Amino acid sequence: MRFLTKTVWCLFARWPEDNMFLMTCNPIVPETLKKEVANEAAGGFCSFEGWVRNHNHGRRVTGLFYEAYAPLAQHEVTAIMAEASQQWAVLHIACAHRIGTLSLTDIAVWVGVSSVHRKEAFLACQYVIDNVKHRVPIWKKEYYEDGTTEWVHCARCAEPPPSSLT
Amino acid sequence: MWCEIQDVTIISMMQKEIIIDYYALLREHRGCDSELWQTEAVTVEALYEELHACYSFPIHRDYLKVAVNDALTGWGHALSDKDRVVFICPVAGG
Repeated sequence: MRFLTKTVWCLFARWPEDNMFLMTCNPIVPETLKKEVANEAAGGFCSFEGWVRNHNHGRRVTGLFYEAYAPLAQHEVTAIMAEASQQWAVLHIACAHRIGTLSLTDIAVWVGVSSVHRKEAFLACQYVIDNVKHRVPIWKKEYYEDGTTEWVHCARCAEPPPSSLT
Repeated sequence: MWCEIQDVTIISMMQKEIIIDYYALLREHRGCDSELWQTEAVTVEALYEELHACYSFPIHRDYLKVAVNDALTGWGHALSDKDRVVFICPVAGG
């Protein structure tokens, strides 16, 4: 099935100067990714890990499924990391996002930033993850304890948004 | 010059074959991850209206973004033969 072909792959892109983006079906290994931002000039390192939790909006979650529009996802993450690099003096940025089926406590996304000083690492790291969450074409399907499923942010989108009714 | 503009308009309305890739909720609703669509639609918006009339997408257009050939674009984007179109549901990465 073409769907399986689309999902069972890994995407790796690296830009020689600064940043790296990895999209993978395999478990994310933070220690491996941390090496991608290592730099002797760095005095600060900040990372974020998004974990699969067992609840969301009062519902018991048993697992997740992530799906990505890979070419555009790569483009958007590239742009986000470039924006962060332009705003703050950082040395390297790395981002990894898991796709496919994830279990509770799995790492869904990892962002790491190295910089000379800690302030820039904190700020750039937050910027990257915040923008990955609302700009990158990756979708999340939640599996619930009651056997139902739902694509996050899509459940009540059949009707026009309230602002468009005025 | 006027003739050139007229020719462009005629070409735009000619039959085109568009590749539509579906993801997430739209993929499940449509039952496939991709299809070829024959259309005379001039814009992405017109293409969407055709598809929606056939498939009654479960997401209102106001929530969708659109990409053509792997680049975000607007609803007024003029379609060309063999364009690849994706209607992007609300995202939820991270």
